[in-house]
Amino acid sequence: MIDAARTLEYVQLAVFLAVAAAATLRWVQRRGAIRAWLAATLGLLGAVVLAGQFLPKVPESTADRLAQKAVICLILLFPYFLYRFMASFERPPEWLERVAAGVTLLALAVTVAIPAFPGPDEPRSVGVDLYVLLVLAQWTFLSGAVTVRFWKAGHGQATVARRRMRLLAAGAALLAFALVVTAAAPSSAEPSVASLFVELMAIVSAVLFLAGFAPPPWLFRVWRARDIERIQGAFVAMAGATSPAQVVDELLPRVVALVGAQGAILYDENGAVAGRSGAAGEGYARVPLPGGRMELFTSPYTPYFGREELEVLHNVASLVAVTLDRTHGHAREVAVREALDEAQRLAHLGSWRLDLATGALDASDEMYRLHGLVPQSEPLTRERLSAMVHPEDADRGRGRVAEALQTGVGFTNEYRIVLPDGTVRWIAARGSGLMDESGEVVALLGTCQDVTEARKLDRMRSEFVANAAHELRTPLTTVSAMATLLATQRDRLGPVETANAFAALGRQGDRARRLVTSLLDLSRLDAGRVPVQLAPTEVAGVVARALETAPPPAGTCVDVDVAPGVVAFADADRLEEILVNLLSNAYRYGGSVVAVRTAGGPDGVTIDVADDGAGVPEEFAGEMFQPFSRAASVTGTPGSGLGLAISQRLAAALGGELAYRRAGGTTHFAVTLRAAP
Amino acid sequence: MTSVLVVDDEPDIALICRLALTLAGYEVEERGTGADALDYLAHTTPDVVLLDLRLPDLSGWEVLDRLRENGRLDDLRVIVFSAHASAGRSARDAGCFAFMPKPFTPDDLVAHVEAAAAARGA
Repeated sequence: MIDAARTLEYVQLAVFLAVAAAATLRWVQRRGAIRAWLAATLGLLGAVVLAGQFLPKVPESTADRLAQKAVICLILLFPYFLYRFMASFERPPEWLERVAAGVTLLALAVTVAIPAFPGPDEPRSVGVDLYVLLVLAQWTFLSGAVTVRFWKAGHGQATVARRRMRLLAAGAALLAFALVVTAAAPSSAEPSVASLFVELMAIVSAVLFLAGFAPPPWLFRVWRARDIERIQGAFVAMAGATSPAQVVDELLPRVVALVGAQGAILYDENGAVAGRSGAAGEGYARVPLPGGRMELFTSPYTPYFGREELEVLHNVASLVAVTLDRTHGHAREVAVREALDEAQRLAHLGSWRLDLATGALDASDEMYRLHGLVPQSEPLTRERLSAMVHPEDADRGRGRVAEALQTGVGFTNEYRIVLPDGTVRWIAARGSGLMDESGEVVALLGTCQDVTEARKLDRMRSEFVANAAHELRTPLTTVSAMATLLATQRDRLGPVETANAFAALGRQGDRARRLVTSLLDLSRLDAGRVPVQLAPTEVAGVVARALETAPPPAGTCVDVDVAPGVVAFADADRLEEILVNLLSNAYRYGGSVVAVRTAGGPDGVTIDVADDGAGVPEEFAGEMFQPFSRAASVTGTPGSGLGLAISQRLAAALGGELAYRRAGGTTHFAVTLRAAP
Repeated sequence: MTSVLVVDDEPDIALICRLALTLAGYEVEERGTGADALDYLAHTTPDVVLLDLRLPDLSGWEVLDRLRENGRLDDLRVIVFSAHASAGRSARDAGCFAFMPKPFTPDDLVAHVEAAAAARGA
């Protein structure tokens, strides 16, 4: 038994000296308050055990007694040092600091004040018993505080940090327990099983301290096994991630947990934040990545990252970077597809691919929209599309498509489709065959474009040309025929007939000239090539001039109520053209009363030309500003159908507008212009 | 004397027709609307009718339809004239004798009327 006790004592001494040396070395290497306090604590422990070897069990001289007191003071300082070690992670509340310091000072003071300690075999006085109680209380309180705070600190921490904190807590608890047992045991010079057990606990606690503070790599690996497993699981899940945000949300928290950090921020190559997790902390580690960097914030209980942590971080972070890169690629692909879809939507152009082996038709979203269907709401088939083709166009281009299927040669086709809601659209289809290595056509690729608008514009243009030609034919027929007649048969005509012929010649020549002028005006206006000179223009003067140019015919009276001083920002000549046109229309299609009114304000100036005629037929109202549009009801009245078209474009060129309205049995054409600045 | 009815709302076109045909020895009557023309044709049968397709009240086609409905079209030689050259084929389909596009010369006009009058006489 004595041998075992001696051996254990030496082992204890060796272990304590070793951990003290290890802790000191760490402090020397990396400095810092935490490492300093741990080195001091474990160094103290080593010093106490070492001193115990040389001090006699029973002090005999004064020097012995002084040395004994010094060792006891060191022993009392030990739990306080341990407490300081704990406190340097995170400062405890003020009351705890005060109690810890107070109780330690008290125990030290009493130790110094006590005259002599009784020997192991001497009876203890009440005072000595009280002193032992005080020392036990100091030890228990401080060790308990350390244990509880370390244990609590581990709560909610990453596995590594939690285990480390819990190890430190266990070490403190074991030490306190060992001391309590020593003090409570009956004093005896002979070593007992209990005292052996106490020494064993002291050894274990010292080892626990060091392991808790600086765990060896193999311990890290054991602790991390589950986290790494989780990370790997996350990577498997990440294989299906489609957005960088998903990667960041799923992975970053796991990485943070793995190394026991408080939070992390991922930066891309431009230094922009790609993602964040957790909270920012005091210290941080910076890990360079292939495409950017990761910054990790540490909690007070994970004060630094060792080589081990940095390696793990780098590996994990590299994997994150790779995954991110992949999802960026995916995001780019999605962006390209969205841009393509947007382009297709703007161009009203859908694309498709027909696989000839399977008959499957792969159609873009716009293909669906063109055909009045909700994108990808149903598998689109060739039959479904064919069924929508207008019956009259069903056979169009059939031969060309058949040829493309045979030889792969490109084809174009234009046809109408009837949408589910009955709307008719013009579709321009293009396509060509896709051949495999053997020259066999395996698929048809192509596009369908909605050309309804273009067709409409085409038709309008041809109509415009036809209308213009038509309008010119009547005057040209008269002029050429009359000229021929006058040239060849003038001697056979009477004086009245000759005069009529010349008058008709003049009239129709003039008509042709006016028509050509109007057409030129219109084309210039449409091309934006009509020069306008905007200046403050007094409206009353322009109205008066327009009435001089276009005086009312007999039987029509014009009621003019124009306030003097109304000034518009306009071009007087162009405005006069508009008013002359509106007045002529009012004379032609109105009744016997035409009214001209103006209204001016800071928002604009309005000139209203009203007549008491039948107005514009409702079905014609939508197109009255189109060139050559003339309501069926006015075919008997002269006019080319260009006046309103020109007037409306002139008003727009002046920065204003021309609007029609019918109110209370009266027809109004109102020109609105900007007010003079 | 061979009689011709000119139906056109353009007074100057009517004037040129009248001058040219009168000089060529035809008797010319003028009407400016489809309704007036139908009224006139209800009791008179000219040898040749010159009909413009664009009239203020009825279109030339409608005038032809009415004439076919009341059986008058068979008795008449109608020459349709129009600025729309594309109307030619439809005009012959509609039972007209001839189509004359605008613009036309006085000689064209007289030649068409002569042919129509001759056909009627045959």
